[in-house]
Amino acid sequence: MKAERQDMLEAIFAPRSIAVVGASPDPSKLGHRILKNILDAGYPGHVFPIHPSAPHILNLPAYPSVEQVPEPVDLAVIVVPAAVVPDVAEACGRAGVKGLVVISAGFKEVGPEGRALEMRLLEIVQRYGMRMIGPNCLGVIDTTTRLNASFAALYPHPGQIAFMSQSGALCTAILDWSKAQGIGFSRFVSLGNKADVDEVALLEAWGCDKANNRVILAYLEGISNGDEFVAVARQVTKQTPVIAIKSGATQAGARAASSHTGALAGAEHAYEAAFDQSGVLRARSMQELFDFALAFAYQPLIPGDRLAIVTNAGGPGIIATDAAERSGLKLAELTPATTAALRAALPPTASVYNPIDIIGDARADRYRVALRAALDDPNVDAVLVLFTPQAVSKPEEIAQTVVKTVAGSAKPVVTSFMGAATIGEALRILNEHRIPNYAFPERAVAALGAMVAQRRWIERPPGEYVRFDVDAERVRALFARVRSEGRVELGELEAREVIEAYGMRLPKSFLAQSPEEAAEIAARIGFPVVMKISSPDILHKSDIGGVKLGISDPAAARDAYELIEYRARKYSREARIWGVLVQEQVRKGREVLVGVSRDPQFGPLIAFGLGGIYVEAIRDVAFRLAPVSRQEAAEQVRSIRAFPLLRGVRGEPPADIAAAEEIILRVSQLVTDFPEIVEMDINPLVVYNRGEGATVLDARIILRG
Amino acid sequence: MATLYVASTETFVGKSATCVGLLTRAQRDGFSIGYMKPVSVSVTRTETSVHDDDAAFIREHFALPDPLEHVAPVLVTQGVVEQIMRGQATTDFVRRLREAYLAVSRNRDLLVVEGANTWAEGSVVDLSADQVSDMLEAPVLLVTLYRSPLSLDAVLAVQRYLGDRLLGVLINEVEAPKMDFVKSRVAPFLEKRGVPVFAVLPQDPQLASVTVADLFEFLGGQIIGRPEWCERQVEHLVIGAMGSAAALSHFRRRPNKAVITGGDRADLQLAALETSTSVLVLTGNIRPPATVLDRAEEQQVPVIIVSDDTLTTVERSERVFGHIRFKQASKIARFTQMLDESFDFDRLYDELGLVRR
Repeated sequence: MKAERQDMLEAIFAPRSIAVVGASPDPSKLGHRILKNILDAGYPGHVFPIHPSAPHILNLPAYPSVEQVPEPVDLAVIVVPAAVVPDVAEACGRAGVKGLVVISAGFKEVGPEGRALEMRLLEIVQRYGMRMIGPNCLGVIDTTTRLNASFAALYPHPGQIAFMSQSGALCTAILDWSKAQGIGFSRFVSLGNKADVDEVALLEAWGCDKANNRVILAYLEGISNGDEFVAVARQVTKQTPVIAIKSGATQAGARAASSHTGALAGAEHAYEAAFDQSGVLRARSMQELFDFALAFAYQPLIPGDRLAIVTNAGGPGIIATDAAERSGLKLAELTPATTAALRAALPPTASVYNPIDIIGDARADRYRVALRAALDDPNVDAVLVLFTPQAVSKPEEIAQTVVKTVAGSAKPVVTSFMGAATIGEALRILNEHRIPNYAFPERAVAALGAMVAQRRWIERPPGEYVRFDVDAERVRALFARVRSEGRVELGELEAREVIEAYGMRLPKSFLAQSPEEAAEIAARIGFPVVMKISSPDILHKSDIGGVKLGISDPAAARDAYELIEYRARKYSREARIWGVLVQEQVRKGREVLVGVSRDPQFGPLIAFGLGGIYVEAIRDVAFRLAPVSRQEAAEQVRSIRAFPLLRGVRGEPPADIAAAEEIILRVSQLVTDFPEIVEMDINPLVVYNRGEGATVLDARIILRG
Repeated sequence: MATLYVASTETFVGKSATCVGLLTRAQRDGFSIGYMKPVSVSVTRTETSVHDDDAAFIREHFALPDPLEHVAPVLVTQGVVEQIMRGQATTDFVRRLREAYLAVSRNRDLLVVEGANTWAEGSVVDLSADQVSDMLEAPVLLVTLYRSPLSLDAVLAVQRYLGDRLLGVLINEVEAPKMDFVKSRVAPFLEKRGVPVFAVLPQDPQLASVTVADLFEFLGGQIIGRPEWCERQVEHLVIGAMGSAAALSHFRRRPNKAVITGGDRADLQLAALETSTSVLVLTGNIRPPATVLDRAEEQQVPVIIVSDDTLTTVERSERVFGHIRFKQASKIARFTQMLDESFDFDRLYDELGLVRR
């Protein structure tokens, strides 16, 4: 079914014939513009304008309806008022049309009535087994089939970058800009409301055409189906680099995105984790998006992470070196053969070590020698050529030389010809020969850094998912009971039961509801004990003085009960107080936290970080989406800034890192087994020294309401 | 004929619901029933009448033949209080009550008398709880809450006043985590002190809830959504005034809630719609974006738009929640079911000398 539906995208990108429903003889109408765009792009197939009365439009015979077109129609581009779009789609379905591009606006984006219309449209599309882009979109461009079914003002250069965008306006801006930059595209799609074809479907289709799409770019405001996105992206990115720019990353941005799209912007951390775990490269700005794209589109993928720099000036060379360090690249250590060759060919003032400084008076010959030597060096995986305009230098010659020297190389070469006024022709030459040039060295290095990330992703072994032997039935029964009582939040003792059922360790702990009971329980557990307020309304227990440690006799336990209850009451008269928890006092270890929040788009997002009271101030937390593989858990633990504390500092023994990883995996299994868990917090998790395990001190679980 | 006086020492402890529940069960057990509310301090004024709304509801609910003037004979309005203060009182309330009582109790097996909210209420017309129960020689069932050990003081004080006339207590709305403690410590303690405990009832979110329609009636403004969605129950009020990132976690903590937030906070509105939300109350008279209304419709969540600011709206909404409204068939059924499960009716009938036929 999936494959069959996928093939249908062919009808949209490579149709044998097109009908334009709503084509207009009036040049000021979109319906005219679209028809003209199709014709101007040199589309080789038949085109049929559909208009209720006009006999001809742009010298083509027009038909009153798709059903009256004498030939089969593959693709219908629809640009009529929203209210009649469903009827048009129905007619298309009857006429055997396979793909629709619905330009018309007035659907989901305008509210409930629009949504009803969109649902109706989608139902028709699905009933006839058609595929649809839109509604409410700019249209579709495919330079490989010379198709321009859009109302964009410009048709892009052909190229090998495939681009999808959730914003139509952004599309037109990029087309305009790319045209001037000489950047070409294979496919260019404005997704619109994504009623049928969404980012996942395009990713899947484009990923299959590696020859035409060397790199896939996506501007996303939200992802409709997170699970599917991750699953598909995971496959596609192993073949084709995918670079995404996701807007709404900041709080203010998320607010803007919500009212714009009507989708709750998923947590930024969830997107970060989703991209990370599916090999999607993330661009932080539009500039980065295209910086990265050019490197992938023009150059072979970097084989490793060792960079050589060829420069005619010291300063930019150092700037590039700093940037390399930050972008995950290493500066290559040139072989003695290379340095010897360079020494022989370059003036004595040149630096023959990396960065190779060929001095300000360098002309094309020095660039040729240095670049050749760097490319031939087995210790080098990529070369960055830097050029600063000098009195004697001839930028065009140097550009030509770079082009010739690089030809056929399996290692990527990028350039940073710095300047603008005097190097226009040189830039044109570089671009024409697919050498990505960047105005400043850091951007060039960052683009190579993206390539390194892609290389690492491709070489990464497949994830290993473990399942522990747990008591899921016990948890299921418990959740059913909580739900039957109309509650969503588990009590302290219930949360303990869940934690235990999933094989995690907890200290002995009981709820006391009177001072006397507290003293009895404490004596039963054995002194010293810890006492904590138990209230669903008090989240930060220690902040209000609701935790007392080191209680060493029954009198102290009675006092602590009264004191803690008094403080809780003082904090909030309305708080529901369930009692005071009396807990075995565990020995000290290193405190971390494991938390879960179910993201509306991507599902359970697991947090790991430094625990205790500083967590919110420091925000040293790493996120992964469940299910988490063994490898991902290991990376997650290692990616927090405080990791050295777990490894042990100043002679401390290392913590039981494996135990922390296992807790992440057990929590991952728990929240995967029980989708009804929407929030969960284990804080603190006390991790002991290596081989001694970890203990959950406090856990909180909230179920879906 | 037996008379049972249902009393409390504070407001909103579920007294009316208890009356309805007891009467429902007694009727089912084959007894002929009657009801009266001797003193009404909160009266409803309409264009044509002044009456006690709750009493009128109960009278109608059981289709009692007695006129409302007998079911709720003494209305303590502001005018009445002023007359008494000026020494110009003309009505003999005690006599009026006695006559109404005689009429209402005639040929009934069980008359349930809904008493005053507090022990002091009604004193101004010489009809406080102990005066009335004394006058009617009626045994008293005390409805009480257990919030802390201090709650016991009120029960024991009432016992001292009434002596043997205190039939026992019903402990209502006990929070789930306290249930064990109340059953294993509090109830045995009271029994030992000679106060029978007829039932310990748990707090029930359904009973505490109001409907969206209730909330809208109180708040006013504009409502968007189908009428049938307005029957959704609201169990909690949650304010949306945080950053988007924290919103989801915050909203997930409460099911079946009303979320009160600014009309311009589309991010919070969408987060709320992602969780169990019964109604969105949007303040500042700002209509939300179409995209939010669309999502609300999808989730079948009505949207109330009010012109007040968020703080004022929260304060007003809290007042709706202050007192539980029992006047809904589903809640009466629920409460009666809870009584059936926990209330010791045999003991009650026994104490009242009622014999099932």
